[in-house]
Amino acid sequence: MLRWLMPARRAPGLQNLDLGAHADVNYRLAICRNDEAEGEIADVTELAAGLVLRADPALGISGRYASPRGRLLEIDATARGTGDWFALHLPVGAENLADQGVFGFACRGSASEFIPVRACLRSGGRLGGFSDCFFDKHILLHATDSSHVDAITLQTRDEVPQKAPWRELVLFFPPRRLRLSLADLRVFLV
Amino acid sequence: MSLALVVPVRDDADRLTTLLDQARILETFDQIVVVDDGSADLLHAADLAAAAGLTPGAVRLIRHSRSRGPGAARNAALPAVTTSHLLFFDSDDHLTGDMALLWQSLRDRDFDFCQFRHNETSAPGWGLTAWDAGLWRASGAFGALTQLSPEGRPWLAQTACYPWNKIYRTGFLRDHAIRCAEIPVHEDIALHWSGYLAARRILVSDRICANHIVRTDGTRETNRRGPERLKVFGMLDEIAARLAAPEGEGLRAPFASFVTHLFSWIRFNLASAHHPALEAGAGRFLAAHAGWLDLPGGYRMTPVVRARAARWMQAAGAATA
Repeated sequence: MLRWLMPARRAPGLQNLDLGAHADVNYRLAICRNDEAEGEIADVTELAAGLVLRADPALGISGRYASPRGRLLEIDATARGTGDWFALHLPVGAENLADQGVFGFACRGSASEFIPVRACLRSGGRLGGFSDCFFDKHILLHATDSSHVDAITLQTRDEVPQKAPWRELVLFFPPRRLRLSLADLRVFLV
Repeated sequence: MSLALVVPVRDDADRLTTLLDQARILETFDQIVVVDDGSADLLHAADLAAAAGLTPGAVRLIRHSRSRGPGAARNAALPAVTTSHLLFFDSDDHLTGDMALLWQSLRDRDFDFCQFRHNETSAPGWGLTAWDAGLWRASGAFGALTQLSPEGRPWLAQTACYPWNKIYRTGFLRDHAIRCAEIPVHEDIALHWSGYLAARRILVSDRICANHIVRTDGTRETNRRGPERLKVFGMLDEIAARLAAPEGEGLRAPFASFVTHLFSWIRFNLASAHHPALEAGAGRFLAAHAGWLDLPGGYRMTPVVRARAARWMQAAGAATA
């Protein structure tokens, strides 16, 4: 009698408004791609939408970054000293991964010479600190624009706690002179 | 700043309509100039505009009653351009979305021309030929928009002399009387090298803004295999004369490298009956300008160029014997 009040039988997913834990991070990336920005690179360089470049202070990093319209990030950096890290940090949310199977990303970029980049999913610890889970493959940027996809099967990696107060996708660049373009980057969580 | 799209066309209305439709979607061009280079079926500006969804009057049409070649067509368009900048483009190629992004980033920038990358459909993947990609690497040009360094200029000048991979400042072309050669093929070499000779400030972008559809079915101007290709020598002599001036010094060795490659490329695309005439012409050109090949060091391709030139001059000797 009140059949019209009952939800209609629909194909699965049609009423699903869950955009996923990766929606926020991809929105941040979209903001960066759609806006233009440029500036100097320092030990800590805050880019748009929460993206941050962090360098080991011992590196004495300097140079410039740009976010041309339609592209994520270009880096032209020089290291005066010897240090251990220079990385792009991208907050990804996804504090609770209990129901997720795979965390991954796809990117496209190039570099003036061969540059290996390592990516990891960094999870904050409840009592401070963090744990890093590195992706299996290196991103290899070179003169020809190229694509890269990698993913972590979450259940098989002890370095990824199911719950964490914060998480980041971190791309580690070689801590030396480099010129690279990260034209696009997207995150997926399945 | 404003941008014109300038398109020479002959018997290619359908592809031209596709290109104009792309131009409308990009919302990047303030003026469209089409030069009908003697098409068998008359083009009409209103029909082109309507077919591409443009407003009536959006297309300025210039017509040559008989075909004079794409170089003459581009030259005829130049006086009609009312914008600060222009892009020459071919009717059978495609614009990409990056063209709009590049133009946005060029606004309020001071430059004589901006060279961008393109996709060559005959090359694997999406991008330049391996040869041009190597020249881009050697030039040090990197990123979405940067100024070409003096050290990079000799390298990038040697890339394929396409007219459609650069956005020119209209006043730059006019002030320096930079034009295409009015010959059936290779007409764009004059535009390219004259531009590199005269430019004060060149910007470069690794954005791929054009998709160059390479057709090997023999239907396009670039597929010609006849003696009209040999008309290239008159134009090369004119460029050589300009390079002989002091301001041309930095581009002489790259030009020598370029022409020895060009001769090989022409031979590959020329009917074999015309090979002796090509070899004789190449030998005469190189002999006339042989001084360039004896440049002192500082340009590392010179020995290679010298060897290639020697082979051509040897072939010329055999052809005239």
